[in-house]
Amino acid sequence: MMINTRGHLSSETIDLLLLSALGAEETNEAKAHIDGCPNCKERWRELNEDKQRFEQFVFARTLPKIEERLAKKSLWDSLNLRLLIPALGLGLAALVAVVVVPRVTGGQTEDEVYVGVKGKEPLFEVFAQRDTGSAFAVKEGSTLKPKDRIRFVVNPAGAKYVLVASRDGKGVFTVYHPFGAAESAPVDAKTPRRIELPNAVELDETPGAERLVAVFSDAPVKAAEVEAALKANPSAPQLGNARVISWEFKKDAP
Amino acid sequence: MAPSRVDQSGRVTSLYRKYGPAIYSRCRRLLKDDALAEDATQEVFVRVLRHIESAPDDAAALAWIYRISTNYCLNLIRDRGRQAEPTDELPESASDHPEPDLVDRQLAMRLIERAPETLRAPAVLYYLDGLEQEQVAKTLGISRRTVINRLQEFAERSRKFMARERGAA
Repeated sequence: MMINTRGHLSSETIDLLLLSALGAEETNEAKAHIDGCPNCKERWRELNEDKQRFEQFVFARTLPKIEERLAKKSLWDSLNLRLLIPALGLGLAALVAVVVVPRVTGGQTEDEVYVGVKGKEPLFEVFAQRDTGSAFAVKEGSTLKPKDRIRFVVNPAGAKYVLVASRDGKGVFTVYHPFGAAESAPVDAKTPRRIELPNAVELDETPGAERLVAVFSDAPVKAAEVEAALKANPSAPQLGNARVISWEFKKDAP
Repeated sequence: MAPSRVDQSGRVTSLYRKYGPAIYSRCRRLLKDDALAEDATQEVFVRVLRHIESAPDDAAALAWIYRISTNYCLNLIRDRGRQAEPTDELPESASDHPEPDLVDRQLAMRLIERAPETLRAPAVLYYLDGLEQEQVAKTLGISRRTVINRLQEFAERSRKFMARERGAA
């Protein structure tokens, strides 16, 4: 029986219907139920909307990233297998670990990027949304527009505090997270996961290159120190023991 | 013979095209944030890939998708909650009994976000996905008795929470 004990179709049935994976009789039964049940009709509409959105925008944007990650993972797995071959010996294994692995993974395996490992490099990602369109990832050199809303995702990799700031085309320094604060905010270092920082920032109309900086530290860092470090060395600001990620995006004139 | 890189890429593309919408929809509905959902879709797909490659049919593949995407999104929601982001008030509800109210999926999700971690995944699958207790147990790899206990505890906590909210109003 496809209808559950609460009188509705389950997500599984609706997903299978969307995949055209139900038999003819079940398909007819499911469609007849959807026609007469506002609750299931609404879920059917939602799923179709999400499917359309995925096919139109998300698929093309995300597939290259997935392929890239799987290629890295595959290479990493093959390297791990080689490390198990005794004939290679410890010397060659060490050589592989020291010389090859950082080039392949940037110092982190895919799983380490996900869970975050203390001592590893933190992660800083930026996502933007324009008007009511889909969100997209912002990378170094991306071009954004005034009024785009940006959000930040970090993996602190064991750091206890984080601060995100920017220096815009006119040299104005702004703390984006914690917004307008004088120093960095605590972040949950015990939860080794990627964390979306609260609140979005709407970009103003100042055109030109805007440099973002994310500062990960074990103790609070003053915003004034970050501003000074950015002024002294815009492309590679240094802040003592703090780990800093910094890059630029471009902002078009309105 | 091992599949060539091109074969493998084509297989991944095909699986992503087929199951990506189901993953994306779950992430979007649970996270209620398009940017996070898009990111989560990639993460979940990479994790679920080897399971759906070897799944005997679509129902088995969907069970893996539900299990991994639910846990992944609930972890993200938990982490977001720890950032002390202000949360919305619960919507007005017409009844003192949580079961009928849980038909309201928005209310159900807010109650789930407040529940202890062990209760969340069973509650998502039962109340939001409409799976039966036996299906919830299979999907999460736990016993049906455990599912029943966790759903009862969730319902009890929700009932008390909603009664408190009404008392405070």
